[in-house]
Amino acid sequence: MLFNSPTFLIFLAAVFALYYAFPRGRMIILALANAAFYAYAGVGYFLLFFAIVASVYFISKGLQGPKGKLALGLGLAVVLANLLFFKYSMFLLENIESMLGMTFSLQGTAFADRSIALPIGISFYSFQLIAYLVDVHRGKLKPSRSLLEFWVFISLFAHSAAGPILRGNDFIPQLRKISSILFRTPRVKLGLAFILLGLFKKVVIVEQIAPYVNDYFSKAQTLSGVESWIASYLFAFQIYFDFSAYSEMAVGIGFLLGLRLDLNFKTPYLSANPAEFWRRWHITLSQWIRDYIFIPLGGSRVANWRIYANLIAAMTISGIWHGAAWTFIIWGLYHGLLSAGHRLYDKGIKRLGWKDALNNRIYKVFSIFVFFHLTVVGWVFFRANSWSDAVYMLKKMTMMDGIQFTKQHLLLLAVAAGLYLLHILEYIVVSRFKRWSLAWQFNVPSIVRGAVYAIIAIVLLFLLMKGESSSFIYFQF
Amino acid sequence: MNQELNTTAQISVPSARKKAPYSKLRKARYGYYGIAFALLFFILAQFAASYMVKLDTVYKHRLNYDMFLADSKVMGIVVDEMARHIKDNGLTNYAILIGNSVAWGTNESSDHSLGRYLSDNATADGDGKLQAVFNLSAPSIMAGDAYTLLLMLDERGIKTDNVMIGLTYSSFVEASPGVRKVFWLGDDLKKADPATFKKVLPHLEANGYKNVTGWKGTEHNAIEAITDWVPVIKYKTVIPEAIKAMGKESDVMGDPRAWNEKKFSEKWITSPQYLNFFSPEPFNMTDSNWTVYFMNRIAEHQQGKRLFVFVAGSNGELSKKEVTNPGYVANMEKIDSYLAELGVDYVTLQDRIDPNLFTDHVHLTKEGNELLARIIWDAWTGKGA
Repeated sequence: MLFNSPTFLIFLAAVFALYYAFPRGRMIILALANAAFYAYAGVGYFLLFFAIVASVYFISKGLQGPKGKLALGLGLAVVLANLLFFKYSMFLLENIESMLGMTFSLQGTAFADRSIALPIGISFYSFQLIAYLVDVHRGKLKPSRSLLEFWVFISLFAHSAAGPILRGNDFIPQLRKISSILFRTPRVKLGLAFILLGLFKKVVIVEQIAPYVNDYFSKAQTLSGVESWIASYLFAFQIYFDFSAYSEMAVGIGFLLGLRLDLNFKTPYLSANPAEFWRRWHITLSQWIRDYIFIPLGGSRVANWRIYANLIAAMTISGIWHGAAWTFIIWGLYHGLLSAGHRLYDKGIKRLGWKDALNNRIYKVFSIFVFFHLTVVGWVFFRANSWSDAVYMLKKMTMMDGIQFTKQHLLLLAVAAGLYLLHILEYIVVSRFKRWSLAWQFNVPSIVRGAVYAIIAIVLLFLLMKGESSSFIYFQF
Repeated sequence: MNQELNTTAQISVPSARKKAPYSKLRKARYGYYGIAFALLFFILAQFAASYMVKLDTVYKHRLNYDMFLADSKVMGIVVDEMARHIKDNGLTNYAILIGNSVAWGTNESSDHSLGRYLSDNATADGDGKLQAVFNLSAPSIMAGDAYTLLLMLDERGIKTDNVMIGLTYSSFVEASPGVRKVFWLGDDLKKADPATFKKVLPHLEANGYKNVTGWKGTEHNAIEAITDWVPVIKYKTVIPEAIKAMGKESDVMGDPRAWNEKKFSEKWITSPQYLNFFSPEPFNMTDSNWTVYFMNRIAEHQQGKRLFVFVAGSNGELSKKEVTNPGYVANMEKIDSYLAELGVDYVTLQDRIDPNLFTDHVHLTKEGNELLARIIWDAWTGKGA
């Protein structure tokens, strides 16, 4: 069920009404709503999801006992086997075949077409389950009290398809107080504002630029240098607005229900370096990678070369998490190299005694400009349909073949520049949101506010109902 | 600028809190006035949308094809508005014309379309005068769409006492695969006549129709039912297209010049789409030809009412090779015999219109449409028999 579909809006309204009408039944209402939300995508995948969640729940009972390690191993095996099978088995098979120079026949099996449909949100719930198993095993988190509580925690419909990745320590305590959550108007208004912001990003921005991006990347090997840059710029904004739209709607739904979900994005294209970028882009995944991969590998408390290796390894794993393709792996590796390179550069600057320069405003703007373009280059690997497409586009992006603009190129570059300005505007609005929101409610007559809300609702309804709702990019992960 | 706004815009929240009484701040944060006004404006917008959309928003001598192309549900809106117009004006004696692009008037503006001239003829003083002719034709309308439209008219209480159906030779060419014989209105046929829909479904599915069933079908129907109650959604295509059309000088679709003033490439004249239009393969004129099947259903529907059929001709010069093909000639004779057997009033128009009055292989110029309207009206009133 897509957040940008009329069906979901009706579903959400029904859940919201029931949730506040029956405070004592909230856990049951959410459990059923989550089941319905997931079953809508396919009953088989819902049953699989529930079986995995139930298995982990029962296995987690033994995590703090004498056979804790065994339980942890078993739990991780269940989660990773499910993830590996659905997401990576065909990729692994193809690579093994390629190495051996042979093709295994799958005729007569259920995989004759050499593809396995990916259950929605499998990467997100797998990471959440792994975090839960590890945290309970380490004694940082008490196991869930009931399967109902565990199911609601893992499968909450607001985030099960594409995050944010919730942590037990943050979320389970909220569920334990769920029946005492009161209907608070300011919070509900804030929730609606987040949902509208997400819908605006999806239907007004993403839906408009997606056709250009799809068209350019579908004919990647015919693009000029300028077109390759345009395609990459537009994709950078498409993926940001698409994913942040989903995440903001998830946070908004959380507010409607009185639950706090973490924000996943903080205007990431205003980052001056990789470390800052990963604190602002897909924040809950970055934190997960840090806590469950980078730190266990030794983090920053090991020899320098190990830190670089850990950074590269952690980011490469992040790339693999995104998808079973070499382009995603290269994208992760690329960001790992950027992170390691930046660490090296930062150390060099400090050693030269130029530390003050890092705080210089012009240097900061220049860094943001450079790092934004490095990010855009990375998106080519992420979005390209094949390795050869990515290499072709990157070659063209060196502009060695000359620069030629058409009117459409200039128009699309202006669109990209406009989107960047919108990104800056978003930063300004978010950083002053509380003040402006109060000023808006306090100073603007309610009749004017009402007219503005009605216009927004009508425009969004128009765009929402215009055609088939398109999926969010991160649903595929 | 309002002095208060100017002042408060510059203050920060802490100072706002200091200056504003707590009750006011609380009212601002907890108040529902903004949302209540939003709801009020939203409801008002529904009335405004309903008021704004009238028959002439979606129809001018023919339906607005840009709107229809963007959303085939617009046909339902046209029929709804027609019903309202008929009721408001107390019309009792009118005719319905349903045909394909020839009857719609491709390559010409609405002011020079068949609908306009037929309406002029029918409403002029004389024998068989009508109060109006409503042209529900559209490009690619098939016999199955025409049948569905008649059922939609019944449902809205629009009388079908006088019906004119426009066909072309190509209407009888069987799809194997090809153009499905309920091209636009499959979903409407499903609602209006489920038994017929079930029968024709394999043919429709074989030719690109997607039948949404089960939970998805229920969901689709429920969303449609809800959105029908919200005019701003119901008119989501109509309103923007109507605004866009305001700046247009003409609603002509295509090139209105006569065919001999234009160039037709060899590629186009030898394309499968063009050649299939004139397919000389012998027609099967039994119920297993879906056009025959739906024409039979239309004839059944029109029992005791007036039904007139015209079969538009093709350009005898541009398409000389095709229209003189013995297979084509034999098939035209089969169509003639079939319509005679069906017992309806009909006219076949091959070679009855000067090739100079064609804009291409089948569509007509302004003068061509005028002549076609005259021929139809004369046949309808019995003058041209």
